[in-house]
Amino acid sequence: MDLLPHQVIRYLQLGMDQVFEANSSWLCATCFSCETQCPRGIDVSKICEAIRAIKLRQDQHDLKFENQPPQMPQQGLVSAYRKLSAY
Amino acid sequence: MQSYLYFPGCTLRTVATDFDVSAKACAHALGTDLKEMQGWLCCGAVYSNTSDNLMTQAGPNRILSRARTEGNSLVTLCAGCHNVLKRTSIQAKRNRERQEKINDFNEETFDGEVNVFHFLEVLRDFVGYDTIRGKAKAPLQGLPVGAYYGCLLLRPYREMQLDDPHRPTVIENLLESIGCSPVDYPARTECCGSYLSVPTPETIEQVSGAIVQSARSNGAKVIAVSCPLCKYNLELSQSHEPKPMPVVYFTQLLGLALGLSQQDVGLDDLHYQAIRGNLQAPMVKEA
Repeated sequence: MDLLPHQVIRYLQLGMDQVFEANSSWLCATCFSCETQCPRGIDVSKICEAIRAIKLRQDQHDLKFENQPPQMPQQGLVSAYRKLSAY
Repeated sequence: MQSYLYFPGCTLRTVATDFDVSAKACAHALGTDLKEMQGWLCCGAVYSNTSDNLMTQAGPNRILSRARTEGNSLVTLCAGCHNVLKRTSIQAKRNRERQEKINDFNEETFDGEVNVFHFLEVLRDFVGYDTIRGKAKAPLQGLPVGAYYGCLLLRPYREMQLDDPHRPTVIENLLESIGCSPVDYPARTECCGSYLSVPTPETIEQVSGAIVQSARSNGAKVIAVSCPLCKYNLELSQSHEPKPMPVVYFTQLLGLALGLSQQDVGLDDLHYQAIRGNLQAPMVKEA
């Protein structure tokens, strides 16, 4: 992860656009761990989703989902497409 | 017989039929019934955090509006479906204006009348652990099981409210009631990596590998899960290991303890032998 969750928030507060080029929001699996543990109640997963959405709506993504094993749960495929492709 | 309206979801009808089959068999053995709801469809797998795009809410709301015609509660098994449907139901009550838009689009009305329960909640709150203990004809004596919760069952807590998000006990208490010796290990509420196994399987080897390692170093011989994607990821992270730790659904262990056969709960030989081999006392079925 290029930037840790607390750094993502700080970069955003300071208006530093490098946060959009970091891989952090793409590695966020929306597990809500940060949110559950944050003493200030910051919804980090929602913020990471916003960063992804901004990039995806600019059509800036590079997804390759080829050669998925047959045992891959549908749930995984649907979530990956939902989270990592345009919306 | 108490009957519960049940939502299976896509994965339980394809790669995780063992979860579906074992849960229905358990429900039956406990004197209840999981009745599949009519006209269900994909829940969307993840609850959308994007509040300016309501299209993603159409699917889960449609499921719940259809469930409403059959009852006021809905039972789920897959942790992903549970998370989506429960949050959808809660949000429908909280945000009226948003809900009206969704209902107008769907042309089906849902206003949060359906309470969504996970099967674990049914076992805890409606069936009760004492009943389960009484019906466990073949308890899994001393089986060291690491309960794995992952994310979606517990978080975000303000909506899920299933159990303490930091120190959950619901799966452990169930396992205790069927004779197992649950193992406490720090990584049981960590994320398995979820859908990142699709674009970057190497990430999963790190995050899920750490969970399996944590369970193993605390003495677990089997991991019990409630989500097909967690199971897949935990197994994927061990694909190069000579002796991988078996990952099973909690309903498969429950089924065995209730006296069901290996086939009834959909266990393959390898997993079944691993469970039997780690019991402290041989599995005996009482008359």
